[in-house]
Amino acid sequence: QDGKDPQTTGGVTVGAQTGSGLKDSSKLQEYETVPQGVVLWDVDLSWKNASRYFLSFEGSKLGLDDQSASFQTGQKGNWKLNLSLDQNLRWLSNTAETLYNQSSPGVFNLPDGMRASLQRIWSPASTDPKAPADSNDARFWSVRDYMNGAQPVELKYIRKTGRAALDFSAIKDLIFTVSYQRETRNGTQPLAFTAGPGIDEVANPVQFTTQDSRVEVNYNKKLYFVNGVFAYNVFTNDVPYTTVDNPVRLNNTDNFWTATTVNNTSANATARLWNAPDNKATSFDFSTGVKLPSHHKLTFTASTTRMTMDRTLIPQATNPNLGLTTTGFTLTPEYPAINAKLGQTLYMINFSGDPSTRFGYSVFYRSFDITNDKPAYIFHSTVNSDGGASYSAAGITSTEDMGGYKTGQFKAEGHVTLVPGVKVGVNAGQLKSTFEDRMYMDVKDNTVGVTLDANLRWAMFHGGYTNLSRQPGAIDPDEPAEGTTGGPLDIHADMKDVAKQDGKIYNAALTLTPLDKTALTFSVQGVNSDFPDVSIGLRKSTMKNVGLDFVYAFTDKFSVNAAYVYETYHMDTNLWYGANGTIANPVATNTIDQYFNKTDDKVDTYKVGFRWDLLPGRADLSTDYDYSKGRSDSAFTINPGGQLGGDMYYPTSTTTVNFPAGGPYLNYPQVFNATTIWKTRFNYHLDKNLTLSLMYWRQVFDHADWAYDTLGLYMLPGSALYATTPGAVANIYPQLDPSANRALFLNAGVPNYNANIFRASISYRF
Amino acid sequence: HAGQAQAAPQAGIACVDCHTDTVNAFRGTPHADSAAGCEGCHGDSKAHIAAGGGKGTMKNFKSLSASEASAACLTCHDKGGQKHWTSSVHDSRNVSCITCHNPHPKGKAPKALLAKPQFELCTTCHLQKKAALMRSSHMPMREGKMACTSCHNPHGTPYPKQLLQVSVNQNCYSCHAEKRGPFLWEHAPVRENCLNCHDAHGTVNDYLLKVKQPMLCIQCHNGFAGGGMGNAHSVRDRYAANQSCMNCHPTIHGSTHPRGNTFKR
Repeated sequence: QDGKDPQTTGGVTVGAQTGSGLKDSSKLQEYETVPQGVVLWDVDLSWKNASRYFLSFEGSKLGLDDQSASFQTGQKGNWKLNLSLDQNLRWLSNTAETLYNQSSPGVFNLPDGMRASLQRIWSPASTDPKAPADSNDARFWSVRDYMNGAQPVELKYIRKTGRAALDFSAIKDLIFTVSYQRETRNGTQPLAFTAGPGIDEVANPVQFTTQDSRVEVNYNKKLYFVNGVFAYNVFTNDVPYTTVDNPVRLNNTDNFWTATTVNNTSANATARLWNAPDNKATSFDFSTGVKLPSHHKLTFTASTTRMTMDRTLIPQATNPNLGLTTTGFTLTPEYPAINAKLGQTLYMINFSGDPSTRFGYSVFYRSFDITNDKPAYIFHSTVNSDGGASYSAAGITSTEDMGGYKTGQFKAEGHVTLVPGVKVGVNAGQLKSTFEDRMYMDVKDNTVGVTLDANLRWAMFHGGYTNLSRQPGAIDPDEPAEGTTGGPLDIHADMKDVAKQDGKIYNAALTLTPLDKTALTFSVQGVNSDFPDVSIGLRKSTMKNVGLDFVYAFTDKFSVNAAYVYETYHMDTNLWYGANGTIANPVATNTIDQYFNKTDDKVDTYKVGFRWDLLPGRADLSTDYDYSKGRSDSAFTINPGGQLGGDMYYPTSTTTVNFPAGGPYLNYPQVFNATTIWKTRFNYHLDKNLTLSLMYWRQVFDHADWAYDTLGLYMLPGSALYATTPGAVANIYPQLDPSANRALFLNAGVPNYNANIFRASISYRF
Repeated sequence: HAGQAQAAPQAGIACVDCHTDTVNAFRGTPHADSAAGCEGCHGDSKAHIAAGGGKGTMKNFKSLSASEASAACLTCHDKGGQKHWTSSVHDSRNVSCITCHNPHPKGKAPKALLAKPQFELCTTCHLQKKAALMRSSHMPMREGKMACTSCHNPHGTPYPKQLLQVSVNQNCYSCHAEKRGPFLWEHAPVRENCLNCHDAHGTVNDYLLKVKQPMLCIQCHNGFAGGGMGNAHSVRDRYAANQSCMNCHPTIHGSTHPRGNTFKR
């Protein structure tokens, strides 16, 4: 349309899609809708005239859950208005079902009759005359019956993001951008919780709204620029609390906690879970830079953000559970509301330049600081989990410095071009982190690295190596000592484990192009980290991958490609994970690597495809086959014996080691998940405006997960692992019956699928 | 730029006789609106025309070093998202503008004149990211709902890993504002860096976790005082199933419950 005024272009793609296996699993449509039937895939229209005014509209999958649309108009160089809508879905499970009714968002109730029957399952079933009799399968049969009465529930939410932005230039070189974005997320997501000994799970409502308003100013001149952004962001959650009807009474005596059976079906206790709180953030970012002679440049950036959260506390008297035991409780909260504040500040100064064609450098310092400005709170009286009453005379203290830290980073880098196309760089730096509530007051990461980059006619290489040495500073005298409450072995463990580290970070990619028609790339990347100061926790982690990518063009019309990447992720932990029921009083001991667990993740990723111009400019055929199989395997090696002392903390220092015979003691069954995506496309250009497209798409998901699929052995009568003795510790196992467990756990599985999809579409462009 | 639209169809008029395909491709790009035309990037054409063409008489980007090639682009594109290009990771590692952008594309000019679709382009070098995004737990990039530039600016930023925001967490909060808090009870590793537990590009574990639960949690919380992870938190029992540690500690990103110090509420 050269020379035409105005110019109008556009297009539309419509088609039909069908296939099998599309609805078998949420995993296929986790992030995208795969519709069946007639679909308007894409539509676009643009218009512009000689006065530089323009209009454009683009839409994709309109009317579907993952639709998107945008509209732009303006005058080029002067102003632009952009309106957009973008939707993302997240489908978590298509198998979920629940025993609960939801009377209003976040209020889950269980019918009394169902509740009473469920209790009988766990109140030793063999002696309860009211329980449905099946002495051969004392633990699960009733729950399975209830599964039949459970209601399907959707575990899925949709994110809708609408945005309006206006760019305009007030005066030459000064551009303002004003934008407003509103994002909603609506649906459900699984939420597991405990309110006493049992575990339950509900399809928790997601009713989130995030609003973002911002103003940006850019002033650009030849030798300097100034940029400022002010943003105000508000997050609101329409379901601040979730209340669940008496989950405690779904459980009988707990074999570990030795709680008594709760048979009272008339009590009106609830569990209250506090969902994500409303919050706000206000931020201001500023950047400026100036170009100096001889290609030197100085830039400065500063950013400050203020994050706040205010939440009104619920009067404890509203918890009916307190009616049972009000003695010792102060029913009026000491604080009607809590308020948390975080201040975040960043500034960075960067001096860089390329004073000659052979030499370049950069030097920067960056400071990042998060200060926790929340006041300290002491809660002398509270409600334990909002499910049962409790009282803490000493109080529970939330200190004012929790979560605060700051970092200062300095780094210098220089590079020299040895010969045309070959550049060598060296760098060195230090990152110092200072914590408000860690065992060490500060930790320093010292790094030294080299890089090599080459762009030659027949080869390209990018490689780098960095040595990391992390050293802890002085011990914070305000922090609890190791082994005391709040110390490193407490659940609030200070991170002594990662305070000292030796790391090696490397990467390299070599692409060879000996011929115009072929390219071969080798790549390797890895991180090896040792934590020599470990007393608990992480001792070593190793990540590495190697890859190969190959492209070969037989002719101008036909080329093939293939790739393979192998990745491993390994972690060692210098302690153990106790076996249930094997020891009465677990003891953490040793040291000389006799007790450790390890995690091994491995992934193989394959790719192969071809491109074929059957009739140049008229018809083309292509295919892409991708396969990835990841697996995760964890093992726990526990040898009996061991030595006292070492670098391992001894909780009691008196108990001897009493592990049974050596390991590997426990292995998690291997978890794997494999994804196959195979798409073959054929395009035929009927004329310059019309294109016919066909696609065959096969996608397969195959996985196994011990958390769902391999626990059956422990539930099956006749299995050596099946526990049959009521009251024994091992009887915790049966609660994991795949049926029973999933009823209470929403049965939120992700089924395998094997989808075969056929699509035909026609595009018209003008 | 007023009035340049009229000049656009004339762009490359002296060059089209010899470089027909290249100039026609150029005319479909935003650069065609520039009055400078081909000479805007390739320099004065008089010597080239006088010599009847040939190498060495005009600027040929294939023979330039990475920094020289980028310098030509930065003549105009040194503002906005490109203002931090100089000394950025890509700049200092021999990557130039034309490594990723093609000013003379065949067919309809793609957005930002990218030489390939963005995901394909970035993973040409970052192969391991391509593999990570093929994993079962991944960002919705292969579905086209996100792009590398949703989080990174390849032209450089003052922030780590060329992120758009000042920190990893701030980047994540731009979509996951419910995780921002602040909370009454902060979980320090969460506040410090989301990547302590998650790998944003893709993993073999649910929720982009680097390591499957409960192994993830016991990298730090292992054998804590008072009996530790023994009977109360045993392997293969109900505490290890499904969401594992988060069965009982669901508010692991932070809690505002007065009794939320153990992240159970």
